[in-house]
Amino acid sequence: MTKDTGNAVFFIILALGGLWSARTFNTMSAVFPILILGLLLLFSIVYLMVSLFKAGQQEEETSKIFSREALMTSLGLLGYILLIWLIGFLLASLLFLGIMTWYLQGGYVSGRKRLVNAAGSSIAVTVVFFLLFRYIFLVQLPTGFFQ
Amino acid sequence: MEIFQEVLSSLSQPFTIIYMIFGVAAGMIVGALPGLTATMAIAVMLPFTFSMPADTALITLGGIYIGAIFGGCIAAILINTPGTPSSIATTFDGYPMTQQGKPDQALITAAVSSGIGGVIGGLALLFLTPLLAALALKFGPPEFFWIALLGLTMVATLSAGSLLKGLIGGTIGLLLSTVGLAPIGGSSRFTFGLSQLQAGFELIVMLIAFFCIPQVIKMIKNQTDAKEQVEPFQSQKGVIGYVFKQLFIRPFLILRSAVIGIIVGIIPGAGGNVASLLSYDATVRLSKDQSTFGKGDVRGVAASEGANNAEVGGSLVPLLALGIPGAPPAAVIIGALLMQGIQPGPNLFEENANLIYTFISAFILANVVMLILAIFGSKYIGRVINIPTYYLAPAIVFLTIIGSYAIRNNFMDVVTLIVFGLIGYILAERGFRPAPIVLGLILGPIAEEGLSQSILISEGTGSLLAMFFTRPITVLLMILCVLSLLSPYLGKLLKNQKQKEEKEEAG
Repeated sequence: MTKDTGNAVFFIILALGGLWSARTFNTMSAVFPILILGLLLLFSIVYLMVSLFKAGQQEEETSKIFSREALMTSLGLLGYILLIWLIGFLLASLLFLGIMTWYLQGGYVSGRKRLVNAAGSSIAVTVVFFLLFRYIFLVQLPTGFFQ
Repeated sequence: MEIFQEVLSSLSQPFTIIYMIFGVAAGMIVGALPGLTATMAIAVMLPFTFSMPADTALITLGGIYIGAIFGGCIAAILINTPGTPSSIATTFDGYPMTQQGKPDQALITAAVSSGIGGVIGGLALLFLTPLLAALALKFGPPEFFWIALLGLTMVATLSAGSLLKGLIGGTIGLLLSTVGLAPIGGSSRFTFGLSQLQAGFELIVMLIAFFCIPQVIKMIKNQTDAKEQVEPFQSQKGVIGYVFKQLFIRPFLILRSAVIGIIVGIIPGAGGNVASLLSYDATVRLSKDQSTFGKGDVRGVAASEGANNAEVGGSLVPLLALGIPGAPPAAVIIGALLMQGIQPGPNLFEENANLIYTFISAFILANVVMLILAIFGSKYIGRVINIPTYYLAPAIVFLTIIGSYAIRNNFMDVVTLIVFGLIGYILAERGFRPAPIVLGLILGPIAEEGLSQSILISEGTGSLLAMFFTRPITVLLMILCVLSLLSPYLGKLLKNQKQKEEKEEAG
């Protein structure tokens, strides 16, 4: 199965699932979603047919979606929101910025300088924007378990 | 004459001018931060203007509005993230210009077109208010539905490569716009029992998710790839002259963008994002050479920015004439007027003529202030791209997180940002561009309300089809939709025919 065929199958399942859910809505709430899901189903079927037709004609490039850097960044982002929920915005941001900056410097900066850069940028960015949002824009940032 | 003297007297007060400059500069800074909108900038400053005289308060808030709408283009150009929703279309050509090492050129183009568009919008506010406000009142639900459909035909321009993927992206965006309580009908749709999703997805959060998070991941992924590196920024001489020349040899470009911006601004509910997208689409379609759009074409940046700043003036037209805000920031300005004891509406020009003409004159002047600040600041702002990825990428994530949270103080928005950011990354890597998805998200609520209200009205009048297909404005919009859908193919057909004729002549 090619990437396009996989995508098309996914969208067909999504459209059918959506139509199944929409059966519980009242008429006025259902009109627009059903119209949209119908269109999605139609376009996805055409996409599936086009992808099956093209499947044998050209060779696919290998997927680079899940490269090491992309995976690390994605895990870093998910870890960041988990940390915000657990220990609050200030501490989570200090940790995220510090660790990400340290990790991304690999191959460019090394030794003590790498650590100093990571800590310096993390503290400077977090503190400046925390103060700006907390005391100028009066945004109550999440505090996690330290409420 | 008396009014003219009063206006001049108000505008010559040093404090009024200082507050105006402060307002424009503050608006530019807030607008440049992803997630912080012009509405938020005005809302935050509103309490500070309470103790000011009415004219100074309105001038300061007007300056913030203008500055913030321009400020949105800074993040759009430098980091491919619209600072405000009005700058979505600026990312299409602005960021590729940054990648080519020309951020100052993009920023100055945005500044000049924003300044000129804003002044034209201000003049429209001054002269066309009563006339245009009457036209806007003729728009009913069927017209809004067709306006949304007209916007959706832009998928053909925005999908760049695969129309089918663009259409699927557009429907995904429309589908995402239906999450939450139905506006008419009240059913809870696709919320999976999560009460936090009842209000639906916040548009700005989704904008940041689809435009910014995939960009950050890509930036980190390509850190070691020499081919994908952004050209370092070096300030060059003669950029200002070059940009002015490029724009003045195409006078209709900014004029057309400004007219689109004003018209969209006057129609309540549309907003700067719709204005900039429609203007970008019109510019692409009407250009002989379309191959450079999306790859760093100054015309794309000028079209988007000219329209969204002209839209600011347009959105204030129904506010001043009828008391109806044309866009969310204008709604906050209504609050400012009420706080000062001024009731916006048809009697405003009779009861507070001096104040309103002072505000409109200052509005035009504030656009000039913005132009000057932006032109001279761009060479410093452009240096942002010289910051190494290992500092820039984590800082961008940090700003998007704080910006998303600040919109509604809702942690769910942060989760939404990251989840949809990762989905956006996968979709982008599979060839589904973010622009059609976001277009669906923006136009979905307009289309749904137009459709649902028309159905309800038709239960009384008896004919739904007559409402959609026989009203003069709907017929005009329908024709525009068909032309818009067919124009890429008609353009190709004409081009092929011309090439064939040239070959025959040469042969």
